[in-house]
Amino acid sequence: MRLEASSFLVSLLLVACGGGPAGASQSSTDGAESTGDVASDTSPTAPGSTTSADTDEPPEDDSDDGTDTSEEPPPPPTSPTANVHFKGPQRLENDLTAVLELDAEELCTEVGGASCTQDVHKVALGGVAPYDLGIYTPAGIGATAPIAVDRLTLQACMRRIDLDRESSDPVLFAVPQLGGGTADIGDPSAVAFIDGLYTRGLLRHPTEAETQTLLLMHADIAVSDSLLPGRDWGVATCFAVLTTTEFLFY
Amino acid sequence: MARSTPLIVLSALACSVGWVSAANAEPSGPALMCEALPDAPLCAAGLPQCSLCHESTDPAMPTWNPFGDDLALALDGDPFDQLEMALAAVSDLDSDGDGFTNDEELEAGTAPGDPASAPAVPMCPDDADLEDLLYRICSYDAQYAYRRLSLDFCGRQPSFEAYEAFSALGPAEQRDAMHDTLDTCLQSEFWRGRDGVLWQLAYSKVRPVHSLKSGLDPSPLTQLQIADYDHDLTLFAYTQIDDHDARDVLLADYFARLDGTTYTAAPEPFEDSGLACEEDEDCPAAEGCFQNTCGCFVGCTQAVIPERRQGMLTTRWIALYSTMFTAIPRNTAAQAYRAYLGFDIAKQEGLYPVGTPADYDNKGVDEETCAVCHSTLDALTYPFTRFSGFGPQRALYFPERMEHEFFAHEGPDIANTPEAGSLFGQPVADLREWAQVAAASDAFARATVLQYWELTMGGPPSPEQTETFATLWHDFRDHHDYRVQAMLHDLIDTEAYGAP
Repeated sequence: MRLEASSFLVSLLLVACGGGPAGASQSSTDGAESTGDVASDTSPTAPGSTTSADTDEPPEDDSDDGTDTSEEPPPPPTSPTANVHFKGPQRLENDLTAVLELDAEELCTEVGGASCTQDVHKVALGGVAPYDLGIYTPAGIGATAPIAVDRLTLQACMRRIDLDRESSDPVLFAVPQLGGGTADIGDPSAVAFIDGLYTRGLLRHPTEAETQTLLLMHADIAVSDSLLPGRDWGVATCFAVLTTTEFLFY
Repeated sequence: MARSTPLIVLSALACSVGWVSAANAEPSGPALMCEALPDAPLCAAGLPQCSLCHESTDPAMPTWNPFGDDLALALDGDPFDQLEMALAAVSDLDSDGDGFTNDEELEAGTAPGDPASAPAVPMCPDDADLEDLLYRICSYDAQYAYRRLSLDFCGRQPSFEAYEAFSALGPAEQRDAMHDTLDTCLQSEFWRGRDGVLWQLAYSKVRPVHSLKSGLDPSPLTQLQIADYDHDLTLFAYTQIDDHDARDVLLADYFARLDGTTYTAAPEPFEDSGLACEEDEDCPAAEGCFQNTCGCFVGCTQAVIPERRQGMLTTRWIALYSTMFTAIPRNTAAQAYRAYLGFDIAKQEGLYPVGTPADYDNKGVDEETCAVCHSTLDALTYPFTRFSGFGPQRALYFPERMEHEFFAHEGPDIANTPEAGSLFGQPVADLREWAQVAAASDAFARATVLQYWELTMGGPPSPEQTETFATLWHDFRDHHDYRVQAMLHDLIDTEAYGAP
């Protein structure tokens, strides 16, 4: 498991460093609101999101000479009320367990078994710790919240994908594996996998552009050092969708 | 202080409290301002801060911001109760030079003495820009509100199938479905269960500390098991659910118990079967606690006689954790004022000075700088003085407490401390009257609704939400008979809640 996780993180790092599609290059280190916006950033329907492409066409790289000559699309309309809330530890746990069909205990643990949402990262995620720490009201979203979200979601996605790969009746990830550990993303199950993540997590179907963006990510992972690029693509796709602003906030 | 006192001192003290002749109760500047401008956004969630006019409220050297300066000029030495006229005189001025008149700023809820604070007009995009959006921003969107209320009150978003089914409904059916969902969610473990949302609302009021807990899951140190605050948390939640009266946080004389998501109430402590006696258990009994068959003090919840019980104010936990060994338990009273009426005296909120405070416990509260707050706080506290903390009458109502518990330690005047005090400038004979005045006050209704507003909206009402908020807490008091559940049904119908 540790080797596979390391392999995946290397792959993700490569993607994040520019090897992947435009949406996938979003860094998740500058606040919870920007954690992996690969999916919502290409959505034409998410109010307030920082859309980088709002057509149903796959993103194109027309900057061979390093200069982007395309016209920047106008930013989407934004709400004047900014009536948006971070889910926090309990709602995140509830929604992740529902989307990924995992028990709360399976979702994410640290330091040998302590729950990410109920213990280790609870306060960082905006929870309280009244009895032992005297934290009676949420301290807000701190600098470590994005890291906690990343660790929580990454573990949860890895758990789901690994369980599905070993199962004859997978919940989400039923994409056939090819040689070299790659996934057959041409199989309808790949699109169904993405659609399942969107409908369960974001309560809508993905746009064509969103689907293509996530499918294209497989090629980047396949040429990375990943030992199991098909599995890591599944984890990265799950991670990308479930760390969108659209999923984390409401 | 004579009427001819220079305005500069007079109004500073009036904002902060301090000016009062011994015989007079003088409302504070913020209170007078809200009497003059009751619909101002700054008055919707409480009283405005002194910083509305002041840069400093130090009685020795008060200073004003530009708006305060203009008001002082308009008052021109008149008594502070002429504030309404002075406000009218400066309404068309732009004291801070930010391009908005003082009247416009007060209506918008911004600070007329601070150029960095100015009204911002919410800008909604053209309808044409909204066609492709998932939600209809700038107006009530039922799908958005449905997902949101599922998360707010049930702690989870709806399933895709439920969301699709909801989306297919007509407007009237959607509204019914939302209210049905709310009713379901308000029964959920997430909302009303142990450590659920309602318990979380109570944490800052009760301030539980595990190392001092008795009862279930007690402190590992037996000698530190002073009280069981589960009673307090449960009682609070009980008053906020179903058809229960929220005023009972201050008025209840009963006990509440939680089993799963089911709350029950009874006039006397519950015998908790979960607190069975362990073999070879040897521990002392304690008055005011329920004892198990070994004589151990478990379920130490509320020791006061029924006719002196006042909801969350007189529990064993509050007595021992907040009052402790204090003769005049200002900490207990200030916490009650903050938790249930929304006024934090440490921030100079809710000041209703009642004369220069007498220094019964020799703490120097009658000094000018201290009297600024203590003129309100001490009168607020006297009704709490007959409820013992630690002491011979531990956590009990003890009418002779001041004579018998503190004479030697606090000086000879301590025995003269009255039980009668004052709340909002209104005399009260004892804690029962205190609680009745508090429960009937606008401050209580406003503070109760504000906690749910902040819970669901993420902060206090914005200037453009002020009217909605005011309607909500007025209706909570006048039409919902202080039932939180009914108020929440109105809350989810507001545009403030349902407009993305």
